[in-house]
Amino acid sequence: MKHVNLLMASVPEETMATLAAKIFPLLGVVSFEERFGSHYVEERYFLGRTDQIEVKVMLSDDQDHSDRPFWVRISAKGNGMDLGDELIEKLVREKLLPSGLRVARIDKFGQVGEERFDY
Amino acid sequence: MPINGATRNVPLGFESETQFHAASQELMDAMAENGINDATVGVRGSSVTGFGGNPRSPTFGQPFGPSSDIDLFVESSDVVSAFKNQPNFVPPDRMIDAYPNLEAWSQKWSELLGRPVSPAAWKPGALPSTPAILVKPQ
Repeated sequence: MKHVNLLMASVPEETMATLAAKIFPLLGVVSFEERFGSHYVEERYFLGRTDQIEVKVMLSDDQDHSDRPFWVRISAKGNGMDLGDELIEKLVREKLLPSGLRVARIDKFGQVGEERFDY
Repeated sequence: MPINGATRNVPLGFESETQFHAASQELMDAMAENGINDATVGVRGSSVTGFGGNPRSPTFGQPFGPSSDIDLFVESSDVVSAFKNQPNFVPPDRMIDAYPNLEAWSQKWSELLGRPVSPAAWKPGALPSTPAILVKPQ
């Protein structure tokens, strides 16, 4: 799988910036940047990279998933890493959930036929 | 063609009008490969206005700079109908999930221009009345 979309919430509630600062180290991303674009909610998002993955932290603004307002998209770079279900489940259960995050994976995000899986 | 008060024909970040039109035509071609033939291509955001123009955004008033993306879009009923609730706007990552060939387009132009270049979609008639540049099909 090339891309995985995760929707998240945090207790206590975080801002996009504080959530990004929490998420990137958990995913092995050492440095990241804030970027600006009109395509994004609040016209900004956070972008980080490793040799193998690219990670974006955004706001989703999807009313069907308002209980998980943060959208974290993990993408495999090139034709390398396979972001399969087992790898993502391990990542979520071993790193994200213990950090106080509530996480759902979304397949076909926003499309007709969208499916949500809560961890 | 500049609309809604836009004053430039070429978005900031592109080297020339020819280069901008090449990127736009390639986006249109990529959509056509997906059977989308009703798309009008355009660009909006700070590459058009020169600064962040949304007063509700923390980037309001900030000049277009190294941290600014280039925000192309397509206006298309066919695209929007593939998404739940027929939204007014489809953000770029959802576009790439639905139309995977757009990723190659985005990567090519992001590498060429040295900043993220991404494709979103608007429902016809829903495009905000803020400055934008529309590209007429060649």
